[in-house]
Amino acid sequence: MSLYLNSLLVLFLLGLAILAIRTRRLFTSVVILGAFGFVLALVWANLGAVDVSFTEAVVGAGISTVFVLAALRRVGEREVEPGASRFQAGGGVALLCLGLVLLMAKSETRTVDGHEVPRLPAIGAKDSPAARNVSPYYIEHAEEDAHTPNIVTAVLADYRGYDTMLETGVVFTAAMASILILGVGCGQGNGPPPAARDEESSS
Amino acid sequence: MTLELLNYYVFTALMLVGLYAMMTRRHLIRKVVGMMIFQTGAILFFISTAAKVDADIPIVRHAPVVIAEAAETHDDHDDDTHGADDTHGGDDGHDPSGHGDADHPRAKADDYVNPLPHVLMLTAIVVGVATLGVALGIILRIQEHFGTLDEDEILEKLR
Amino acid sequence: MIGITGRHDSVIVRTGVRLLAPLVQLFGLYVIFHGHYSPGGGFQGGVIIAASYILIGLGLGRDRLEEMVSEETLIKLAGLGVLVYAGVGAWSLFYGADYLDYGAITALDDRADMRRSLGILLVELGVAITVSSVLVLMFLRLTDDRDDQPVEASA
Repeated sequence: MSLYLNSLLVLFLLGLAILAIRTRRLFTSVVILGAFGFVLALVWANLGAVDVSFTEAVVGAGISTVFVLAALRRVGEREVEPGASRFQAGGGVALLCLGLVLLMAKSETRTVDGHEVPRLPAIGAKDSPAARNVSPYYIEHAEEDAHTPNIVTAVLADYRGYDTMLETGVVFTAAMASILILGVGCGQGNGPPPAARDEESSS
Repeated sequence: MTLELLNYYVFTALMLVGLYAMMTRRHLIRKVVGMMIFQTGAILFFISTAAKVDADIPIVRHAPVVIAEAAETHDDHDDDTHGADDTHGGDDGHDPSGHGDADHPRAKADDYVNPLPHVLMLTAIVVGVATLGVALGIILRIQEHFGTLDEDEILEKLR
Repeated sequence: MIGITGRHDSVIVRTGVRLLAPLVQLFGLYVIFHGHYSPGGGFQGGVIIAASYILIGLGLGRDRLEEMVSEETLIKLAGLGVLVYAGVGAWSLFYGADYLDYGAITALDDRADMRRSLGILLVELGVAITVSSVLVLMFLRLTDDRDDQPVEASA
């Protein structure tokens, strides 16, 4: 992990995010979001999260972009003036205040009612609270327990099998919801035959 | 040093940018774009807490000598000897000579990135794209029903 | 924008998709089955395989994709994946162990850690089946514009 590379990448990420919501054309915005996904994959790889990087490269940069573009193609690209919402000014101010509060809360150690509230651990700290509880057990025992050198796989499917099973259930439920919302067209007697449709689309 | 805390600032900013897009943009697909940025902010926070300085990716790596030894001893390695290994391998598993617990020198937690947030975020990304599909399905239905995706126009027609 | 329903106009894109798609699928299978020893696993391999089918849908046309895998098949596969995962979990109940405790399934292997390794592989297969079929199904649903009213040209 390189802190400098990380800083560069996350700042680039932030720039892309702002660009994605500032551009005039919706199409541009979605394509920038695809680039955002690629940079994200680099950030994860740099932070040592190779499995997440893998998934993000396929999902963030590929599949989700295709999904949004497919939807965009069907609804048309018409958009009213991007900066014409009622919430523009108020929302901006409220979010800036929220951001300041969050930044103050995490940047230094402070004392509240006699209790010391620690600041968030530095990136890469070996004694960060997230790394102290069950995680050392997983790292030390994954191979002898499950004969699986890739600790992420071992935790995903063995130590935390319930979690993953129900996540799979969530993905399945999402598919069912999508079918219920959009209807199922199993390709029989639904709309004109393929030949007629080809003529339509080419005209 | 601020570089060590930069990821926290960036994740806050990403979440705020996403929230801002969801609040102020009127086109529903823009709102979905904001939602994806917001989700990314949360994932960035989790992965940042998992990083460790000078640590390896969370895949247990054997020293080269140990791999050679393991290949030799693998054939006569059944369940009985494995049980025996555990008793005398014990705590000094990171013995450089690779003796005792030769097949499984115990990994040291400080040498590897924390795998737990990775697992949680891995599933979150895939579930995220599944929910994105549902959100876009709802948007297509809204377009079909109201003929527009502009928030104000939809609210107008709902009255 | 070029229609997703029909095949792509360019012969280079179509040929490229024909060459690339099987390789991507092979790589997806490798990622699933080698997930124990290198980055990879059910979720990662599942999305890669789904991406290969989406590539076919974009290059050779949605109808061609629907000929290959109908939506009915995909719905069944999505259910099958969850059932494989839950079934492996229930299998360990027959050996008197807890739900999802693969280490107890003595039918798999002699060594306890190998049993858990194989159990992980089985449930990862279930995850991969569900994830890939769900994503392809969603792509088919989102690009199905047979009943659409024509939208006005983009601004």
